[in-house]
Amino acid sequence: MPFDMVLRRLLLAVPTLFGVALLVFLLGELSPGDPAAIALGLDYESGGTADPAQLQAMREQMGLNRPVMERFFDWLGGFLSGDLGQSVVNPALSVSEIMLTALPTTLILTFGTMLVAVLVGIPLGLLSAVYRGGIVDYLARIISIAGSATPTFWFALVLMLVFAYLWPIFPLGGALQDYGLAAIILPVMAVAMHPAALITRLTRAGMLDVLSQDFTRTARAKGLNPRVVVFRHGLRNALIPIITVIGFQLGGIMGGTVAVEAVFSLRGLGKVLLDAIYEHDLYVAQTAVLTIATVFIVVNLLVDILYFVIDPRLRTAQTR
Amino acid sequence: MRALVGSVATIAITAAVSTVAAPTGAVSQSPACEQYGGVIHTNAVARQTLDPAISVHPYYQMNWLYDPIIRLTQDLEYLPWLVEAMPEETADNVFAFQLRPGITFHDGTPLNAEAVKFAIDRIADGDVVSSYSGQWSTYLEEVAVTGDLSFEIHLSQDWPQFLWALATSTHVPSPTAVEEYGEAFGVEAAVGSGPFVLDVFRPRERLELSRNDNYFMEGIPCLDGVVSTHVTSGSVRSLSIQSDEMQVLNTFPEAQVPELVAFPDVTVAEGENSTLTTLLVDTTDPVLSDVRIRQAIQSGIDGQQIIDAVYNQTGGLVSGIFPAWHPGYLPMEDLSAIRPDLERAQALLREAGYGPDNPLTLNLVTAPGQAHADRGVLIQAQLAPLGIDIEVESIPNAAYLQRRNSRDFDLLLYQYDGSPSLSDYTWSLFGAGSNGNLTGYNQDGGVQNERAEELAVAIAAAEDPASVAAEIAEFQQVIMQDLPMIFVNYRNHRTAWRDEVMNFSTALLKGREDWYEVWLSE
Repeated sequence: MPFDMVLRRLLLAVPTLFGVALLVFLLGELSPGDPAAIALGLDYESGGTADPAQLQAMREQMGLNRPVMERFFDWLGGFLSGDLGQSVVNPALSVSEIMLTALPTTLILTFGTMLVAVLVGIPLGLLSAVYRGGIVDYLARIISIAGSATPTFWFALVLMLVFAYLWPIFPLGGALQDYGLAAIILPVMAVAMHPAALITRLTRAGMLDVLSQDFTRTARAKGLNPRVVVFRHGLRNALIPIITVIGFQLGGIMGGTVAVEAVFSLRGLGKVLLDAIYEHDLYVAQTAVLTIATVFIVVNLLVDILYFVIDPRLRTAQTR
Repeated sequence: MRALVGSVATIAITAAVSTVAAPTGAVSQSPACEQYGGVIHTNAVARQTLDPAISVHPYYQMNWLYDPIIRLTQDLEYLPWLVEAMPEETADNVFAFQLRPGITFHDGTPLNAEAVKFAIDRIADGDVVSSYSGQWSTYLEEVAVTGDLSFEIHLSQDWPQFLWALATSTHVPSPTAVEEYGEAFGVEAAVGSGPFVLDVFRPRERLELSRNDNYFMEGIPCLDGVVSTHVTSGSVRSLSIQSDEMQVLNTFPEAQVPELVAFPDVTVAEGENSTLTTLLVDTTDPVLSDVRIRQAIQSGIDGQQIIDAVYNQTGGLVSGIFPAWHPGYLPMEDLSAIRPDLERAQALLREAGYGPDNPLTLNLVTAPGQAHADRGVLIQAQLAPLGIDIEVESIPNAAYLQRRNSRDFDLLLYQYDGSPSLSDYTWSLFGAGSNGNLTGYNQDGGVQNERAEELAVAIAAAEDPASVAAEIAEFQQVIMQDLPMIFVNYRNHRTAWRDEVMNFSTALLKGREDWYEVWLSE
């Protein structure tokens, strides 16, 4: 893996992140709302009102009267240094604290989901391609189409109904701190359904394509063990588009766990982001989006690097 | 204000807590708990902090951890709580209090007059971000400590909501803990003298409490503990109580009612007419300052249809300026001004120069909740045939508050939680000097009615509703004619609990259930 290529990708990530940060910050600023009223504990359901002078004092205390760009660079500096200040809604909590508390849940959910999706999707797609037209193939296709067509939140509720209510082997919901990994199993299964279905279909299509290529036929003609043909010659070639999808899916899963986190009462990054948007907790919302974007960019960088590991043609092309 | 010394206060507490066990300072309580113990799992967690200076929802969580100077029971009775008796007005706007002896905070430090002064000053001086600061800084002159357990509250002027403020915003935290934890107080620690001690708090996620064995009221709380978790999904909340994973559900949407009512082991009870739904009108707007327009809107709205369609029939129509549960409630004989009457609405609009040929376009701002948006859409549909085009804007909470507080709306759907004070629903909503007056009525540029202001002030200053019955009757007539806000209907709130939960009932006001004498039968 050439060092200059990694460096180039890393350098490209910097302006991308800066652009994302600027966009996220400005969109937050443009959204209407009064964080000062929220910080004062007002809630539309409670019917409370605040003294106008008190609201103004709160806005000043929160620095909301400072120029936008000044606040942007302060915030960006804070993001880089890890000092993101306090939550607008809850000054007792720092933004970093909120992120660090929520991030493990989201990361476990995201990577757990992808692990399950890969462990289910690749073997199923592989079997489906190898036994094309057979029962396994039909079953795999039915499962993958059903998986793609079922809404995640509905599937989450069905899983909950079956495995937490009718047959209560998992909790109805709750945090990792309270229930350990048992809290994450049903959410992972719920979120994994879509990517698993996609990976199954991609693996099947990729394998069918590769298995009909001349080099596979040659490998077979040379008398190679069928397993070697399928795994070394077939799967390795079919993996390239699958890895691309995994990279994109990871980002998508991370940003899209909101519904499942809400159903299972998991306080991950998605739920934190949703609450922050809802309550106009600007710095928390902006930081959550930037964190998700950063993870997305880093994961895609890793995927790029992985291409070079898997596909020798890219290494050769780079050397030339 | 002298009369408040005994009028409302000499109530049920006398039987329950009048015998004081001298040595420990503990107050012996008639053992209400037939069976002690049990941990109840319920579903609501304060979204940000347990600091009593900051408003905490649901409210009963404050009473779990802290004690107020006086307490408002769920049946709307004021009881002396940390103090021996209800406040005594010793001079004009000076109220004397005597704390019960021997009360300690969860950290072992004594709850004395200095601690009470610390709690109130902290709010009034703005040392902490508090939605109570505005009212306390306006009315409080000082808290004077007159002894270890005695203090006086000096007010700068008559405060119609004084009892309400004492009951809702004087929950006393440990000064030692507040100083130790600083800004983190309320999240990392919440140390009061209340019936439960904090074990775990994760904002918006989980709250775990265990019984305070040294609680000054002997024999309570009955429960060993409470675990409260934040459950966003309505379906999951419903499953949780059906599966016995939770035993009590805090107020929840009407959509879940039929399913829970049908479930055999669960009781669902309503707190009737607890929140008033109104449309605030910007009376400073040239078009809406025309009373005919406001009256036409009022006559065009069918509150019952909204109760049926949005509240699943759990609500009530407005029949007086106060709701039926309020001590000041006086039913109006003639309600025609606030009942649907399309012909009247059309005639009024025509007179004002509007109608289907010349439609009146107004925006209607609502909060983001589904029931809020639904009400907005139904009102839009009801007013459309009259020639009033409503543009409904359902916006996020923060934006809603900003629009509401800056009067940036034509109409704004407002769900109002009142208190049992006479000033509520009267001066607080319509008084010129009230920051709860969001319509501009009797304020600069808004619709003026001197008589309404006089009546609102007179009603707010009274302590006994009977003494101002004539004023209330006249005031509600005036307001229903002037209509600085449109009266839509009342909405109920509700709680649900499993059969094994004993001695639990739904409070008259949302989120104000008493948990002192609740226990589990098994």
